[in-house]
Amino acid sequence: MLNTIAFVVLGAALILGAFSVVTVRNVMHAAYWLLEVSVVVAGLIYFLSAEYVAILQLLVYVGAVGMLVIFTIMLTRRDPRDDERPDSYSYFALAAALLLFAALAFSVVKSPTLVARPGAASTSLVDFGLQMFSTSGWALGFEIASLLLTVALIAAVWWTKERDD
Amino acid sequence: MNVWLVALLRALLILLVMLLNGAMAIYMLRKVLGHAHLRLGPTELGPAGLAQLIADIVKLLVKEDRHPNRSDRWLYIVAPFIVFVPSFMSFAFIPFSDKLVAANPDLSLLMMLAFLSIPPLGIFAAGWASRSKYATIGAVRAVGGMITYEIPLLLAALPPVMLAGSVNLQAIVHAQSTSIWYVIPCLPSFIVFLICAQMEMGQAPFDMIEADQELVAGFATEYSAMRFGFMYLAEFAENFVMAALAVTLFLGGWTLPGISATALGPFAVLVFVAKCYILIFLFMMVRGTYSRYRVDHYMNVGWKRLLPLSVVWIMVFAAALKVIAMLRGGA
Repeated sequence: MLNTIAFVVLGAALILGAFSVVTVRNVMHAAYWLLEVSVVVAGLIYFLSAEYVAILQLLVYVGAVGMLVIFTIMLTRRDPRDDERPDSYSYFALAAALLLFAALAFSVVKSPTLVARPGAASTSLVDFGLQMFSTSGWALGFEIASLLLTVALIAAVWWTKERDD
Repeated sequence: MNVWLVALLRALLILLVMLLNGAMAIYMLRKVLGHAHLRLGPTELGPAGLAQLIADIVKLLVKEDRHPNRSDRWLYIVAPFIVFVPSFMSFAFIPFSDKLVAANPDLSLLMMLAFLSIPPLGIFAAGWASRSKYATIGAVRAVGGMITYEIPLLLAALPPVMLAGSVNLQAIVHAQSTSIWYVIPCLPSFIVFLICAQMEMGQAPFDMIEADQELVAGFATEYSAMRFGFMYLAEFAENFVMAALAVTLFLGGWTLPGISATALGPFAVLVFVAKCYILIFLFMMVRGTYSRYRVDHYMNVGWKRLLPLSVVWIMVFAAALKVIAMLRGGA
């Protein structure tokens, strides 16, 4: 009962937000609608009993990525009038969007139906950590990813440093 | 339907606590800062100037709600709620006593921190939508500040989690009641946490987002009446939330050393609230004592001091924990 109501409300908010992101003309408004979508997705994940993933969604997508998007807009706009997006359409973009929608819809329809198991314990943070950091789990992938990010970080610092030449 | 009623009552109760805290904080701020500056604070209305509070609230409620002409109307209206709602929600996880907590999920500490990362986005929206130079500069500083203190704040909250072996606030309090207050083994984290809390609350010496002398009122310059009230209510709520987090993580929450939870009974709530207000008093004294940092110094403190310090401290702390565990296991 509670889950159904939450799903309907969050789903409606998600559709509204997603439509607004692409239809709103003001770029800053679009960024805030994107944030709304991220928050709603966190809510949906929460109601799927994946609390930890929902929290990560809030911290990473709303707190960090959202901030990054706003930062970028803030640094590139000089005049409030620049905020308005040009009112032009491209049939190529429409075709690409329709194609993506078809692919997603196809995969959703074709995938096996998920069956809810009432009373199934949600994964605890301890299980999650053990899976993530044990050598039989994802430890290697985790280390490779962090190494990659470190390389990217150092490269970014080097790239932005002032040079004499 | 019972579930809904309970949830509604809990939400109303949190709102009440939030409003009471706002009223308390306004009065305390006036008095504490007054005395810190060798003034008396409000004295005229009511006993010890207490009725000044009512005057303040009535003023906020009846003022004209105006919009700047060139403001971004839509964001301008929404912004105070982006600040207010997450602050309100983070109140739900504060453990006032053994039983008195509105919501107690397993990951309550992480949830609280996740909600606390949202209000700066509202502050930015407020400043940006006002389309005034003071507000815009305040907004830009808010964003810059947020990415500076957020990471050290999260890292400072980790050592108590390692000691207690849980991210549930109630479990952390219980773990402290059977051992010692975590302020003793985690003193560096406690200090970093307090500094970052001061930054998160945007209070002097880190109040660049609303530096009165340079920016009038920063992000809130163009706001008036209850919209302004909402943002300040959220700010005072954040004061309380940060103090409550510090008390819960480092100062034993609602427990007192040597007294069992059953003996403490209903006084646990009083103990908790008293501890919180002692910390808020400390925050206010710091605010009244130190002068404002320069913006670039503030960034330097965050990136070049607090961040490396917390990372190194986390590694040392984790290694020490492992060594102690091994020694105990071997003996």
